[in-house]
Formats: sequence, structure tokens, C-alpha cells
Amino acid sequence: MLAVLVRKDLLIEFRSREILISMITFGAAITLLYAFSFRPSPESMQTFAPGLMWMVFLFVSVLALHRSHSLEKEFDAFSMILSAPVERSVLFISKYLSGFIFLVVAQMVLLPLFFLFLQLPLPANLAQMVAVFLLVDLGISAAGSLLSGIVMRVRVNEMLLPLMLFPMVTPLLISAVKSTASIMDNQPFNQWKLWFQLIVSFVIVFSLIGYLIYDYVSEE
Amino acid sequence: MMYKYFGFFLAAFLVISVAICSWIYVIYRQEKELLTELKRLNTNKSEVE
Amino acid sequence: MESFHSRQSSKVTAGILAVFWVVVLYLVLNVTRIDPDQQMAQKIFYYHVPSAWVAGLGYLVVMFAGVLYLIMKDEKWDHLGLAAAELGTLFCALVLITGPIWAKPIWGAPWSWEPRLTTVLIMFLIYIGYFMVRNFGDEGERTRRISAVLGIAAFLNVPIIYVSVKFWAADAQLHPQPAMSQQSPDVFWTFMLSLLVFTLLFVHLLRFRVHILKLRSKVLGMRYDV
Repeated sequence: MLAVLVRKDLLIEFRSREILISMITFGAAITLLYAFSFRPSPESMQTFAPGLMWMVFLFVSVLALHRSHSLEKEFDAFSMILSAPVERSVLFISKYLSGFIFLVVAQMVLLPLFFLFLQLPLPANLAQMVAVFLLVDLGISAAGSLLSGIVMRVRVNEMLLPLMLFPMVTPLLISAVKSTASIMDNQPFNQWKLWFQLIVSFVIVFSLIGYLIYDYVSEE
Repeated sequence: MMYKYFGFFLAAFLVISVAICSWIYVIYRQEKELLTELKRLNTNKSEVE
Repeated sequence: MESFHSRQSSKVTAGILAVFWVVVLYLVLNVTRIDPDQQMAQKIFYYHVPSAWVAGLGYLVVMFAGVLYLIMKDEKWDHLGLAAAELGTLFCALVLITGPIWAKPIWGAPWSWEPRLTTVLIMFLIYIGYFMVRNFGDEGERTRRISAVLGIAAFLNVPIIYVSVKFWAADAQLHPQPAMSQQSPDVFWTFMLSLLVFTLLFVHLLRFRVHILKLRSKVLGMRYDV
């Protein structure tokens, strides 16, 4: 059932590519703005790059999260899914996974662009970077899917989603930036282990909360 | 009173006191309005019945 | 239904609170010792710390009320949750105001990104979102359910927020950490009394507000019957 739901979300996206195109365009636009609006020395750019990078990803994730849930509102698709014999928590996981996949795909395009335009050196340990990115994406998607499920039923939800998501996601953001900065500085894992642990805790906590509580959120 | 930074202490104390009193005032007013409306609705009801 | 303060117990509590508010002020001004560096500014702590305590207490109650609402589906838990969220956010704002008032003379700058203040700020922002959801949702059961969920998720996030901020700006660990048990009696007992007064105030205001929300619910119900 889960596979069906996820496949449905991905298929819809594959046909129209709305979400991915808007994510990539918006992300590229912000990256270009960064490149134009300040020209720091390479060392300063390296200091700020992790923070700037994660801000871009957070902004584009809002696009995906919002769109993914609002698609369900069209033609009242959501109530039809709810009447299907599927556990609500499975619905959460499908949104969670599809959100995660969208974010990862967008990052695969945006990250090289980011490194290119801001002229950043590649980190030595790419495997670590990929691991951290995947985990943080899980975290953003977990918290984001839960929150967008919550605010989707409320008016003015385009504004409410980032308003709620950003404070909630702050610890994840801090940890992501710190980890990325350490990796780009080629620091050994022990030095930034704490941030990694925080990311993992965040992912676990929000995945669990979302899974357990989505039931209550999605009732009619 | 002749100690340093008394103004800051006074500012903090006043902010807290004023905020709490304002909150009490706001909800007190709301209670009053609700009670008058409740009374009005009750008399309306008894008139109808 | 009658007014909350027409009850004997409420009148007594309100009276006690008013009296002890003045008592604490007297003690703070005349009995407690003067810190040689911070002088009067240090005394803000007798109000700032209990405010933070009440804010945290309020948010804890929101979480429990949320859980109870989701399980029991009784409206009274939603009333408790909303009332506690309002009080928590009020005292949160007070922490965020009194903190910088203290910090300006002592640290030189009113704000710094140190863990406690930053955590309180983030919680404050999360709860602004909570109130917006309540406002923009319709009056029904769904909004109450959603608010319950938000209250739970927000509070569970607190330890993670706190730990992350604590280690994030290692240079901004400036928040004073008075070890309460090691303070002299005048400081200790005055602080305890202030803490007690704030807690009692919280409980009293909470009950008052829940009473009003119950009243409001009743009126709304009647309005649409007639």
C-alpha cells in the first residue's frame, strides 16, 4: 500500500514535473542572488557557504511540502484516499518519503550549481557529506510533512507552513550547518559527532511523532 | 535607591506588572461581556418558552 | 454560570496574590543583598527566572492537555491547552523583554545568541504559529485537534532545540548560572517566595481563563440554538 501511495506521488510529479522544476528554478535563483549580492574572499565564502546552502534547501523544501499536500486538496482527493482502507500513518510515511525524494533530487541539481557559482572547493570526504545530506533531508521532510498536513486545512496556509516549519526545524538547521562546515573543513568525524547525533535524534523524534500523530491530524 | 541601574530594575518590574494586569483586565472584560450575553440569551429563551 | 471571582476561593487567592506581590517587592528592594557589580540590575532575576519557569510550566501543560484532548476528546482539555498556551506565551514574552533589560547594562548589548534566550525565542515563535493556526482555522473540532498536536510537537522539540543552541555558539555561553542552593538565605528565600507567587499566579490565571473559555463555549452554543 505504501509503495502504491509513494508511486502515485512520484508518478504525478513525473508527468508534470511541477514541483521539481519550481524547486530547482527557485533554488538556482537564490544561489545566483547569493553570487551577485556579495563577493567575499574565498575564505569568507567558505565560512558562510554551509549556512547559505542550507537556507536554500530549506526554502525549496517548503515549495515541495506545500505543493505535495495541496495537490490532495484538488478534487477533494484527500477524502477519497482517507476512505480507502489504508492506515493514516501510512499516508504520513508516503508524504514523508515522496517529500524526501523530491528534496534529494532537487539537491542533486542544486548542489553542483551552488559549488560552481560560489566557487567552493569540494570536500575530501564526499561520503560523509552525502550521509549528512540524506539524514537532514529526512529530518526536513519528517517535520515538514507533519506540519503541512496540519496547516493544510487552515486558511492562509502558504504563509503558515514556513512560519511554523522554520522555528521547529532550527535545531536541525544548526546541526546541518555545523556538520557541513566541519566536513568542508575536512575535520575528522569525532569533531562534529555531536551535530550528527542531533540530526539523528531530530529525525527519529519527528518521524515517530509524525507516524503516531498523523492519524489525528488527518481525520475529517 | 541610590544603587546603580535602578532604572533598569524598575523598567523590568513595571513591564511585568503592567503586562500581567493588562492580561487580567482583558480577560476580566471578556468575562463580563460573556456573562451579560449569557443573561440576555437566558431571558430570551425564557421569553420564547 | 457565575463570574469566577464571585467565588470565595478565587477572592481569597486573588487577595493573597496581591499581598504577596507587594511582599516580594519589599523583600527584593530592602532585604536582599546587593551584588557589588550588578547592583539593582541583578534583582531583575527575582522576576525573570520565575517568569521563565512559568512559561515552561505553561507549555508543559499545553502538551499534557493536548494528549488528554486527543485521547478523551473532551472540550475542557482544549480549553486548558489554549489557556496554558496564552499564559505560557505571555510569560515567554516577559522573559524575552526582561532578559535584554538586564543584559543592556550588564553585557553591554541587549541581545546575544546564548542558548536559553534563543530557545525561549524559538518557542515563542512556534507558539505564535500555534495562535495563528487557531485563529485561521474554523471554530470546530478539527482546529482543536490540530492545536493539540502542535502543542505536543512543540514541547517535545524543546530539549533538542536547547542542546543544539547550547553547543552552537560556544562563545555565547554568557547566561549566569547561579547555583541556588549556594546562595545566602536572603537571596534564596526571596527567590523561592517569588517562584511560589508566580506559580500561584499561573494556576489562578489558568483557572480563571479556563472558566471564561467554558463560558464562551456555552454562549456560542446557545447563540446558535436560539
